[in-house]
Amino acid sequence: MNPEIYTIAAGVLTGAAGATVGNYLLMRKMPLISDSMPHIALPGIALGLIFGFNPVIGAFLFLALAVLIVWYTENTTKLPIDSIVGVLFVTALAVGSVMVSEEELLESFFGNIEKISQNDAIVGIVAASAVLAVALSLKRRFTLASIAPELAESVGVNQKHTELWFLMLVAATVALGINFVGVLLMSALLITPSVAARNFAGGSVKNFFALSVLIGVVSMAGGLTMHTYVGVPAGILVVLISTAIFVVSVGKSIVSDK
Amino acid sequence: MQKLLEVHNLGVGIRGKQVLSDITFDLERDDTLVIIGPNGSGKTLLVKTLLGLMPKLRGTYVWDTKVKIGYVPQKFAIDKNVPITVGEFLALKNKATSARILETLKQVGLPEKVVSWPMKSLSGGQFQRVVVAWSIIDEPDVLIFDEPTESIDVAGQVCVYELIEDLKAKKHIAVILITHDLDVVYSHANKVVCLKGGTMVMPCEHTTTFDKHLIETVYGLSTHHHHES
Repeated sequence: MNPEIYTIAAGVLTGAAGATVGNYLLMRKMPLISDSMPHIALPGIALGLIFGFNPVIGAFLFLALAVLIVWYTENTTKLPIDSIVGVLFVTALAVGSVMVSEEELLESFFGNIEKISQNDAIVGIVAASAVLAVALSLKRRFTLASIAPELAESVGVNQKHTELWFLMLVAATVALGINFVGVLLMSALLITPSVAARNFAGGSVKNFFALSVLIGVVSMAGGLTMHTYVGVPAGILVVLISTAIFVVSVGKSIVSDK
Repeated sequence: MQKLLEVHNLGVGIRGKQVLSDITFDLERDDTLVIIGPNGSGKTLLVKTLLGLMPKLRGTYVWDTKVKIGYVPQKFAIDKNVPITVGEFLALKNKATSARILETLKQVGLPEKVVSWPMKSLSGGQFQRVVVAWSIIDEPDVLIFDEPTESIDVAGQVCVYELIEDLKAKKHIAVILITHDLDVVYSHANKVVCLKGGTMVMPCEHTTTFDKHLIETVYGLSTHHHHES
């Protein structure tokens, strides 16, 4: 089988997982986390490059550690989560950027699918499927905790545990997306499919989820396939495709509001 | 009569500071118990404690082992930016089947077609009925409403109380209401817990015997004043 197929399969599943987790980010009014949190992966990526292990694993370990710090700090100090992530993000960016070469830094920023081996891709397929499965199986709990926290509490949904699960899913998704879109373009994976899908969804949460996954998958598959023909980095193409779909969705919502 | 809830000398604190003390009352089937008191007197805190959402400091509260509770929090709203239909919202409650959702909508006086409407398209009164539907969809024995009619017009308020009376008549549920509306006490309640400064100003009594004048003193109202307003 063509080894690229594995990369495309891993990318498509990462796109689906990104869109699903991104929906929760949007519902919880935390879309900016998709911009700041990915930078926290940089020191982990750097350690992977320096000590010769898979940088994606380093990225996930650093993100998971950051999630624990953010979650603990938020629950003990009651500081807003964005501000805690903000402090960690600049620190990680500063530390990470002196640990790697300029070229490697650029690759972490924009992704490089050439770096994905067949084994990496297979691990990516399994991990992205797992993230997607967990994200979908917690849909009822996440949706209720996002739109009506007090109701969720009254039916036994523990807010603190829910948030920890949720942040860990964001961490895993960001780690999976690093080779495909890189740290700087992660919002295209997490937020653009969600906001576009919301414009198309017509007030139904089922449509919202189905359409966001479709948009995430189409953008990723399109970007990875076109990359072979046009010679532009795949991450850039993923961003452009998802943005184009978003622009159409805005047009649709302007027309339907009239 | 079967006791659904017994509360004895309950004390509740926030961060170690005692806020509620010596709360004692009980709840039976067919009761409508109203919790009244000025702002900050601990009404919501009391209900949250009974729901297990806040720890108690002292005393006891014991629910009947099989009791099922439906709760609607104060100033309840849902984020209008999230696309979700009425049916999808109600399905978020555990074990709500689509047949049960339609049945519950009918019960709260909404047509079946509302099931596919986006939540954000509902009027205030319709929203309130959907919220009531949420609380009764799994057929609770006790309904707890924290200021259920604060954000809706008079017609909507009448509807909420009619629904409550209807549910009591058909299912023999018990209701706990937090309200500032003394008319609700006079027309619907059979028991009153009157809080001031974190404690009960009088024992929980049946409305037929309680001292209306005392309640009005708690609120700083004279009887004359109240009937004028």
